[in-house]
Amino acid sequence: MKYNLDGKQGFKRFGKIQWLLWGGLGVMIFMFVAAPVLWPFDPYEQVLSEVLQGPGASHWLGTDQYGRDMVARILAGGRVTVGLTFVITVTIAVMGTLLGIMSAYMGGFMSWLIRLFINVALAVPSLVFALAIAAVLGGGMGNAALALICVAWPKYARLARSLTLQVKAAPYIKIASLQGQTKWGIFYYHIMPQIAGPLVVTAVLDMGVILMELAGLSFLGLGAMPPMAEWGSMLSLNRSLLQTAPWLLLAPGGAIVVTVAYFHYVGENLRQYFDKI
Amino acid sequence: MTENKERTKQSALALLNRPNSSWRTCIKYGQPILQVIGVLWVVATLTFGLMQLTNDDVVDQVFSGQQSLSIEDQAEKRAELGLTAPIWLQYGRWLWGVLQGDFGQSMVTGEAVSSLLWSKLPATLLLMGAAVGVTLLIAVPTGLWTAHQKGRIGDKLVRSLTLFGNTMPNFFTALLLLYVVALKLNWLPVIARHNEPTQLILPTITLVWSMSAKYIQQIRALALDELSKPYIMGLRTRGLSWYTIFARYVLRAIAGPLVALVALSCGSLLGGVTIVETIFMWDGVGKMAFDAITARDYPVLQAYVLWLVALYILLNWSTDFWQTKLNRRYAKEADHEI
Repeated sequence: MKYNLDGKQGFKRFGKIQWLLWGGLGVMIFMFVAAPVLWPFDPYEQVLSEVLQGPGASHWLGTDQYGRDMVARILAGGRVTVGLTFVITVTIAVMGTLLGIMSAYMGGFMSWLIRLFINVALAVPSLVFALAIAAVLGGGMGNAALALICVAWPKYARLARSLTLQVKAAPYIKIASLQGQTKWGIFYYHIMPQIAGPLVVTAVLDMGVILMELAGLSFLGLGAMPPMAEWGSMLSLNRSLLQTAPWLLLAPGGAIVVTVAYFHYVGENLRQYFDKI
Repeated sequence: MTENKERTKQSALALLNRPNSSWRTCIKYGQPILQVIGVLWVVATLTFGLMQLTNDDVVDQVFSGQQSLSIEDQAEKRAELGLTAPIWLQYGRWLWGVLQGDFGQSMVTGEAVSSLLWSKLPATLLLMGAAVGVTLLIAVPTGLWTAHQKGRIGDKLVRSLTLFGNTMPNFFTALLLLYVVALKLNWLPVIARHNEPTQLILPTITLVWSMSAKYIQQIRALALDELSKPYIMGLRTRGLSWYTIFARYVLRAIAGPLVALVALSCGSLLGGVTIVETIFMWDGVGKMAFDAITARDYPVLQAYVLWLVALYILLNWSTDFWQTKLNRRYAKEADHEI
């Protein structure tokens, strides 16, 4: 991937993408947070008289084998899945970026250690390691998130490191330093605005991938434990009902597809934007 | 005096920089080998450390079901298996075993882990090969075609289709395929018997669906990059057909990056097939890992991780080799630091 690094604009002209980003996020957060107030059904309440109903007027997406409303479960699951995806992505992006910049700035043991981690992470299929970590830590959403964080941060460290080195090598950085700018000032005024764009693009594009991996771990039984509503575990739980009640699979699957597509779309737009400047 | 010293230094440097200097050859070939060994060692150590985090050991796993074993007997058993030894000694023993290809025994069946792994590996490699092969067959022509059709209706259609391939997690694709092909259309049995070629069809389609989307995008971008170069215009003015240009020039130019892409996706396939193999009951390494996870069979899991990492490193290595073979320009670029 090639990034244009000589733009000074940073986040100034954001335009359409900004609305797309914040608007979509706002709608999503509103839907997930306000779900208990807006939607009359409880995601965990089992109504055994209304088991396995098809999509209809009162239950828009039908009910599952315990009579729980699917719309409520999708919204509750979204809170878990999408919320945790945010937490994971922000954590790895911040952690990886800081470590990558650190390794670009200072030599010595720390830099060597970070580089070693980056090299190892590049040489290893990450999902295999995530599986192993999640398996050893045992189930649970927090452990699945921890496993994904462990394997995903070196990607950002690598990107941040190479970008920082690239920017640092420019002659004007030397001039700024000759003019008396401090190390921190150079970083804050010259390096950070230039490396922020590619990192943000990577993070947004990554959100979809992380969401799918998180749902995948849950699907394998390494994430959410029943009865917790989570899109991946809902798919795995309703797998046996494929023939009788296909809507139970279409609803969480469709939710994943739509959310991932949203992140994908925003990420691609952001990339085009940053490529232009 | 100083002049003399300078001259000695110069001649030493000249010796070092000579193209056929054996010292340089040593560095050139030794460094990557050392790197690979280093990475493997770190990964092995990490997996060993990871498995130490578990709360239960072999004795708990295997013998806790049997009521006959008292606490003292269990302790005796632990001593017998060397689990009471200090951790560095256990690590040394384990590493020595791994070096000899001995990954220990499965906690559940008591079978040797390495032979278990060997018996499962061909199935996974077959699935991987089928997926990659079909993907290339679909994605290369489609990618080049969309690059040629840029901006027209066909290009837009394919691009909106690839969005679906990119956004559907493969467990969802797999379940949809099961529903449509096996349950609604009755073309294939839901659970095929073992070792039937028809069993390969659905998992392959599942993997191809998501992979070909990524490939088409990448190939399209690479081809467009190549098409924007002036020599293409020159070829057109000389009267070459688009077919010749694509087949003889563009395809050759994108071969190097394509090989890298294949190697990368092989790596992610090795990890990602776990879900697909489990859904379709394909008896490969991924399903073995899943079974090991549900049974908390840690030695199997350990061997799985180490094996896949070794395989992946081998893949990466051969990629570098093929890239330099396919495109000499990469020989220089491979040197730069990450």
